[in-house]
Amino acid sequence: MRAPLAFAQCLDTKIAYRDEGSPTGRPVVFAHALGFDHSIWDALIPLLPQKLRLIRFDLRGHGASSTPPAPYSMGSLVRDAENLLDQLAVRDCVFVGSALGGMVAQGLAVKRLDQIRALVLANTGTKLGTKETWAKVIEETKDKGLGARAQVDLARNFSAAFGRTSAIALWADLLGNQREEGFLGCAAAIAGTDFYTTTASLRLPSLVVACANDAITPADMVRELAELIPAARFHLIRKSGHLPMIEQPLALADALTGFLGAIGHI
Amino acid sequence: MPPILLVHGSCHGAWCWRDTLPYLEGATAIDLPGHGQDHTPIAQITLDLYVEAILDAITRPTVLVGHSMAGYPITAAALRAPDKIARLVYVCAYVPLAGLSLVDMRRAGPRQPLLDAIDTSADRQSFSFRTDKVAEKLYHDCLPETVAYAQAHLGSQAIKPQRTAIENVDMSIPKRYVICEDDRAIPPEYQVTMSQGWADIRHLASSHSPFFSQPQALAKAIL
Repeated sequence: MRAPLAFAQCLDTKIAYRDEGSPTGRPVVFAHALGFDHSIWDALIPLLPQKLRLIRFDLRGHGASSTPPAPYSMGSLVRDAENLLDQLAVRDCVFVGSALGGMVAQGLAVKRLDQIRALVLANTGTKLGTKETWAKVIEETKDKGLGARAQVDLARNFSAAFGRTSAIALWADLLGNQREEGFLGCAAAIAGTDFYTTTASLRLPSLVVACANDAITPADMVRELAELIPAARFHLIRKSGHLPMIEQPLALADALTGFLGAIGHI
Repeated sequence: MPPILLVHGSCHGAWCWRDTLPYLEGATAIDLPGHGQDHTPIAQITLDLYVEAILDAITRPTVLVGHSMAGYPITAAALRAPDKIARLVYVCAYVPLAGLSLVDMRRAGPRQPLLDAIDTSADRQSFSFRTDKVAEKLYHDCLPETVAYAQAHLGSQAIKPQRTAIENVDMSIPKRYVICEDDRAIPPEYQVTMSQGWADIRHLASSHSPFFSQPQALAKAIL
């Protein structure tokens, strides 16, 4: 069973998290993608070595975390994570970020090398979309509400094969019930972010994960991220859309566990 | 003895307390706006409106009983008018956490048993229970004629109040939780989590609908 939800007050924002596995184990921290919440890691967590300390949280405006008025800066998302890890006395963690969560990972790794010893960047980049595409998404969402956006995102986030399974209902429910303020806030944070220069300066062990059926961050784009970070490993997961922790949790768990072993985290 | 006010959950109305009221002397059941005999249009229904309906129904310190979704409006009512509330009783109900809406609370739960039992309206402003699913999800331990009675009365549920968070939930009003151990709508283990640390907890071996499956035992757990 999942650990109960806990909360940490991070400046103006209350961040919800679950702290699982072994309390004295080496920490692994998970950050989710735009529009989702920490539950995307539900299937993955039990497949990882339970001697690890496994911490996952909801980004501001998402899940059970609080929702300050939009827009947000990427800096404020990074600060939430930094603040949470300080409160949980986490140092030298492996930070696993999916899409938007992977941007937070890149930002935090530059800022707090004492908190992060290795990165896992799944289905992400130094820059996602363009200012113009995000401006359009934000405008349309304000105009028509999140309902239509949720339908588009549901189709884009998952492979066609996964979309035909009954498991899709859970994620339709999640996307359909997002908070508009949180979505708009985080969309603005992504729109304003380009980590190319700072991420190129990173010198810590990194695993970059891409998926063959990812319509949001295609594998070729994600491979560029791996080539940017010296000595980063690149791992391609087949038969998965944008969120391999949901569609192929076993394959992701294998890749992640292999990486944790290779860097001496387990 | 303070008076008792019974507040129904999603898609229900005062009608759901039919079998329980005879065991609760001096108790009243109300329809929240848009439920039962109240025909407030869906678009106008808010958590605030629910709270007003509750406070309008009480004049002196009252035991407020909330089933399921009603954990939200009874909490909000108690926060607004603490002097009018003698006790809060949560019957397999949501206990609001600060800053979280009912939808957030549901999503934060360990399982989502109702996902396949709900139809959302085309305008996404309301939902209703699927008629082929209610018996197993809500009333599996109820008599067939009771299920038929419920089916005939179930209505649609405005979504807006369920997307509204309560920012501050600090209060000093006595509260009790009634855990329904065979609940197939709100996971019983989640009811345990939501009432963790409470001094006053009762247990019923019931589905999500103890007002039908064991009205006498429920009345005893409320009194």
